[in-house]
Amino acid sequence: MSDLLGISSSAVAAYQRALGTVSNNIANVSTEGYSRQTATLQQSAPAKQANMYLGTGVLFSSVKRSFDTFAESNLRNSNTDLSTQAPLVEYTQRVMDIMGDKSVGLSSALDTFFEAAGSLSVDPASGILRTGFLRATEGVGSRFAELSGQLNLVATETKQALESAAGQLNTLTEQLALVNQQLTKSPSLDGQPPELLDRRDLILRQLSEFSRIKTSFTSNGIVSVSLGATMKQSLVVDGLKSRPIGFAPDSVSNLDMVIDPFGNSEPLAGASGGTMGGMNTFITQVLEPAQKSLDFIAQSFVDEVNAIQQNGIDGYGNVGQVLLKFDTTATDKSAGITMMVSDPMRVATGAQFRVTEDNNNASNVKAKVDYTMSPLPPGLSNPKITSNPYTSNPLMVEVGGGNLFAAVTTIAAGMDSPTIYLDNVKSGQQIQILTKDGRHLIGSPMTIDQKYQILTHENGFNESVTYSDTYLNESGEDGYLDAKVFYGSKSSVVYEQQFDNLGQPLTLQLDANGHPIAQLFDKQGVPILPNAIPAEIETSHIQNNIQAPANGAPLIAAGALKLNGVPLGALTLAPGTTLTPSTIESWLKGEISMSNLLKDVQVEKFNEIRVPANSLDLRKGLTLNGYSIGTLNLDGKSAKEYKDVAGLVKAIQASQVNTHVTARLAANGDLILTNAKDHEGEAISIGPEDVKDSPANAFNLSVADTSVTIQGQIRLTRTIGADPVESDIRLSFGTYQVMDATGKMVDTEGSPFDLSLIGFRTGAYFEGKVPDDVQVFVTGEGKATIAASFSGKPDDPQQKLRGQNLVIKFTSPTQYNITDAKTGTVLAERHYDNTVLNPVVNYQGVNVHFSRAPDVGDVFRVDGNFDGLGNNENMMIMADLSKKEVVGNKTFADAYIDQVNTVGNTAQQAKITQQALTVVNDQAKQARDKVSGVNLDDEAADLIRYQQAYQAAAKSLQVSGQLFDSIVQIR
Amino acid sequence: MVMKVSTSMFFDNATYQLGSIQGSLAKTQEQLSTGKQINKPSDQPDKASLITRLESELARQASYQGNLKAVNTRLQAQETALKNTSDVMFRFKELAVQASNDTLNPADRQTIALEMTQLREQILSLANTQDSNGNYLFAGSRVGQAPFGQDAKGAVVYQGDQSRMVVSVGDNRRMNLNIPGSDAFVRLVRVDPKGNKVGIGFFQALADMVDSVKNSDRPNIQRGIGEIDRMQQGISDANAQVGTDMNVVDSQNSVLDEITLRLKTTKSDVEDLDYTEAITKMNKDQLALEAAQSSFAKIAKLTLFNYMN
Repeated sequence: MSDLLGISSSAVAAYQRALGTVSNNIANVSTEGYSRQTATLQQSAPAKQANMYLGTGVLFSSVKRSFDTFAESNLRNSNTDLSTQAPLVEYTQRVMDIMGDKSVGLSSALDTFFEAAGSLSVDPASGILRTGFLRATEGVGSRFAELSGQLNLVATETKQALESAAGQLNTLTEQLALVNQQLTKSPSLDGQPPELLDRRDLILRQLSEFSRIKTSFTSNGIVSVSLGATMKQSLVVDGLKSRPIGFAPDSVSNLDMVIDPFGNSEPLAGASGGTMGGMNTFITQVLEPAQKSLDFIAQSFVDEVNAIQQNGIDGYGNVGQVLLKFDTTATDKSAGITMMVSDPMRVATGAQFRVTEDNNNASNVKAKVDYTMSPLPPGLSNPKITSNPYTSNPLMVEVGGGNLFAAVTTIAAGMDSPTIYLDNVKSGQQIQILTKDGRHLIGSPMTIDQKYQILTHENGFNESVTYSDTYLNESGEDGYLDAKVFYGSKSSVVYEQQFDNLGQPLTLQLDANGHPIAQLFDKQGVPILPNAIPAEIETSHIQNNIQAPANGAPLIAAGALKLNGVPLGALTLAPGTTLTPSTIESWLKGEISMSNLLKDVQVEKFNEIRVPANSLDLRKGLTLNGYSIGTLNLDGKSAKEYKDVAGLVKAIQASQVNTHVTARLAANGDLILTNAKDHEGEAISIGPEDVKDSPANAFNLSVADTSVTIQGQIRLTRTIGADPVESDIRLSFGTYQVMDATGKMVDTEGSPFDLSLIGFRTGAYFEGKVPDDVQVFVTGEGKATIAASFSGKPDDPQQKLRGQNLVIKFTSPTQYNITDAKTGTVLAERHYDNTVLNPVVNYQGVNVHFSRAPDVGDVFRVDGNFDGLGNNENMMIMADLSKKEVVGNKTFADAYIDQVNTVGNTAQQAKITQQALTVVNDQAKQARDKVSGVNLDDEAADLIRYQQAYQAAAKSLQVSGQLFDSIVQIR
Repeated sequence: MVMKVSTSMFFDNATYQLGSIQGSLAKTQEQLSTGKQINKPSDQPDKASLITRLESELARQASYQGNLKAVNTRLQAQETALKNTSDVMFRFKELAVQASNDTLNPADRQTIALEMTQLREQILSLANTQDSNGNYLFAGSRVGQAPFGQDAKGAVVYQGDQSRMVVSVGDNRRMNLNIPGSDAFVRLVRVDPKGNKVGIGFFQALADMVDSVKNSDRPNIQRGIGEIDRMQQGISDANAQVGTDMNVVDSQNSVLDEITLRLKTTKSDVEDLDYTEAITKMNKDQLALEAAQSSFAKIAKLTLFNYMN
C-alpha cells in the first residue's frame, strides 16, 4: 500500500528499530567481544499503478554484525605469538635473577673457596686456615644446593602454572562446545544470533592465548578447534564435543600433555605457542639446560677437588681422602654435594713426595721433586696368559729369526705369588725375569748379546738402564727388596683343609714364619693345627727314546741340577739304552744316599694314566701291554667284554696277571690305570693302534703304532722335618764346566731342558708379593709354551713409591744409583750426563730435578712426605684450579657466568620479541576494532541520523493525518 | 583512509601508555635511590654477567693481596732473624780472630771459648725462630719441629727439609714463601784426610771452632776463621734473598693496587648510575606523563553527546 500513512508507519517502525540497534551498540560499548551491529534498511516492494510504480516505504531488513573473518583470525594468531613470550620473559628473568644474584649465585661462593685455598697455601700448617678452607668448600656445596633448590622451585611453579593453564583451557573448550550446540539451531550463519557468534569468537580469542589453535568452521558457524598442526589430530573441540587436556596421570617429571588424560588418552601432538607453549619452551630451553649445566659444573667441581685432594698429603701424612661426595638420594647432583671430611687436618695441602739433601753433601745442589702419575698397570700385560698352570691353551713362544729372546709379559708389583711355567722346553731355553732397571731377578746368566738385545727401551726398560745380576735367583735377605724367588721345580708342605664347628671351611692363616696359626681348639683349649701333608713332586711320563749324547757325555752333567741345594752327580746312560724311570730312580737314590742333607727325600717310580670319563668309548676294543682286553664290536654296540665302565675296570683287572696293569675309578668317574704290584714304574702300552688316524681303543687315546708305550713316572716326597716350612723339595740349577770347541773349559748352567728330560717342570716362582714391576722373557732358540698361576692385584705405583724411601747417590761423575733405604737393595744404577744444565733423575714417575749436576758423594733422599705439614704444593694446585679450564674449555667461574649469560640472553631476546609482537598485536587489535569496534561518536551521529529520520517519518505520519482530516472536513 | 578507533580501544591505549610511562619513572626512581644502573641481574643480563666476572676478578686480587700480607709478615720475621744472626756472627768472628792471636794464653782462650759457646747458642735459637703461628721459619715444610736439633750423637744437625715453596701473588706471579734452614745456615765443605770433599753442618762447624779455641788448636782456629767467612756469606746471601723477596712484595702490591683500581673503574662504569643522565630521563618522563595525563583528560571529554540535548 503506497499510501502516505503506510509509508510513514513503516518508516517510523524501521527507524525505531534502527535507533534500537544504535542504542544497543552504545550499551555494549565496553562489552568484551562485542561486535558492532548495524541496521540494514530496505525499500519495500513498489506498487504498480497504471504504468508506473510507486514506492511503498521502507523495511527494516536485518541487523548486521560488523565482522571480518580475516581480522579475527589474524588477531588470534597474533594473540598466540604474543602470549608465548610472556611466560618466557617472566620466568627466564626469574631464573636470571636467581643465578645472577650475588648471594644465591655460584660466583661468590667459588670466589670464597679459592680465596680460602690461596690463604691456606700461604700457611698450610694453620688449623684456622684449614678450617676456613673446609667451611669455604662446604659453602660451595650448599650454594649449589641453594641454586638447585631455587631452580626446582621455579620448575614446580611452572608445572603448576601449566596445569592451571590447562584447566582454564578446558573450561573454555567446554564453553565453546556449548556455544556450538546453540548454533545448531540455525541452518545458516545469517540466521545465527550475533551474540552467540560474538561469544564463539571471544572464546576462540581467549583460547588462542593459551596455545596456538587451528579452527575449522561449518557453514552455520559451528567451530572445531585443534591444538595440533592439522585438523586431523589433537582436536580439543570436535563439533559439539570438547575433550580436556592434562598431564598424563603416570607422568611425574614429564611435562608433555595428553588429550583426555583420564579417559581414552591420546598424545597431544604438535601443540605449540601461547602461554602453555611459552612455558614449555622455557622449561626445555632455559630451565632444563640451566639445571643440567649446574649439575655438570657440580660434577666437575667435585671431581676436580677430589682429584687434587687425593693427590696430596694431609696433616697426618696420609694421602688425602675424598673431600666431597654426591648424596645419591638428592633430587639432582647439585643438590646432593656432601662433605666427607670434617677434620681440618685431613685437608691435603702437601705434595706426595719430598726430596731432602743429605746434611753431609759436599755440593750445595738444590733438589726438587715432582711426580708424574701413571695409570695402574695390568697384573700381567699379556692377556693371553691366564692363571691356570695346566691350561689346555698355553701361550706359545718362539725364539729365533735373529732374536735371542721372546718377550712374554710384564708382572706388576703387588701381584701375589705368581709362577711362570716353561713347558715343551728346548735345549738351552731359559725363563728370564728382570726389573725395568735391568736387575736380573730370576733366570740364568745371559750372554752379552742377549743382554744387549733385551735391555732396550723398546722392551719396556728405562732409559740408560744397566744390567745387574746381584739379585739373580737370590731369595730373602740377599734378594731384591728381600723378595723370595725360586727358579726350578719345587713343592712345599701343604695343610689339610680344616672346618669349623658349623662345617664352614677355614682359610689357612700363616704367621710371619709361614707356620699355620691355630683357628680351632679342643675342649681343653689345646689348639688343633691342620695336618701337614708332605711336599711331593710327581714328574710327567718320561719320554720315550731319550738316549745319551753321541759324544759319550752324560745325559745330565754333574752339577747341572741341585736337589735341595745339593749338586747332583751325572746321569749317565749305557750306550744304546734309553732313559727309563728305573734309571732315574736308581740315579736319584744313589745321589740321595751320598748326602746327609737329602736323606729325608724319598724316590719312587710309578706309572699312572688317567683317562677322563668323557673320553671312554666302550664300543671300541682295548689291548694293554699287547694283551687284548676287549675287541671292537662291529655292530656299533658295546664290546662284548664290557658293557659299562665298571665292566671295563673288571675286564682290565681280570687280565692283571698278563698285563701287570690294574685299573680303578676315580671319584669323578675318570679311569686310572696303574702298574700292578711289583711292577711299579713299568711302561704301559695301549692298543689297538689308530685306524685311519683316529683312535681305535676304548680310551680314545691316539696310538700311532703298537710299539708306542707310555713310560713310567718318578715321585719325590720329603718327610716333614722339625720345621714344615723348611721341608720342601726344590730342584734347582747349578753350574758345571763343559769343554768348548777350542778345548777351553767354560761354565755352563743347568737348564729347564735338563729338568724336562727327567720329567720335571720348570717354573719361575715369586713367593709372596712381586716387589716391583718385572718383565718376563724366554731366551734360547726354539718353540716352548708358557703357563702361569697368579693371584692378587697390582699395587698403586704411587703408594708403593711413597712407602719406599729412595736414596739417590752419585757414585762417580757420570753415575748414580738408587737404593731402597729399608732393604739396601740397589734398585737402579744409571749413567748420567753431568754436563746437562738441569739434570733430572726419574724413577718410576718420581722426577728429581737438580739445580746443577751434583758432586760425587752427594746423597738425596726421596720419601713420602709423611711429616711435611708446612708443604703447600697441593694447595697451590687447588688454588690454581680457579684458572684451570676444566668445564669444557672454561674455568668454573666462566662456565657458570656463561650459563647465566645464556639465560640472560634468552630473557633479553624474549623481551625484545615481546615488544615487537606487542606492536603486531596492537595492529591486529586495531584492525579488528576498525571493523567490529564501537565508537561513541559514530553512534551519536547514527543516533542523530535515525532520530531525524524518525522525526521526519513521524512528521509524514502527522501530515497524512492532517490530509485525512482535511478530506473529512470537506462538507 | 581514516583509522577508526573504537571508544574502548581509546581508553585502553591511554591507560596502557600512562602505565608504561609510570613504569619507566619508577625504574628511574629506583636507580636514583640505589645509585646503581642495574638493580636486578635481569635488568641488563649482559652487563650483569660482566659485573659478576669483574667481582670474581676483584675477589681474586684481594686474595692475592691477602697472600702478600702474610708473606710479608713471614719475610720480616726471616729478615729479623737473619740480621741478628749476622750481627752475632760478626762478634763470633771477632772473638775467633782474637783467639788466633799468639799472645793469648790457653786460659784467655778458655774465656773466649765460653763467650763463643754463648754466641753459638744464640745463633741456634735464632735459627729456630718461630713465626706468630708457632711455625718454625727455617724448617722447610717440617714446620712443626725445630729445624736445628741434636741428633742421637748430640751434634746439632739440620732436621728440616729442603722444601722451597712458592705462593701465588698474582695471576702470573709466584714468589718464594720460605728459605730452608740449610740454605741460610749453609753447609761447609772440608776435605778429609783422604782428599775427599765432605759436607759439614753449620752448627758443627761453629762447635768445632769453639772446641779449637778451647783446646788452643791453632791450625783449626785458622781453618775456622775461613769457615766463618763462608758462613757469613751464606747468611748474607739468604738475607739478600729475603730483601729481594720483600721488594717483590712491594712491587707486586702496587701492581695489584693498580689492577684493582682498573677493575673497580670498569665495574663502576658498567654498574654505577650516571646521575645527570638519569635525572634528565626522569624529567623527560615526568613531562611526558603530565602531558599524557592532561591530554587524556581533555580528549576524553570530547564526544558528540556533549552537543546533543
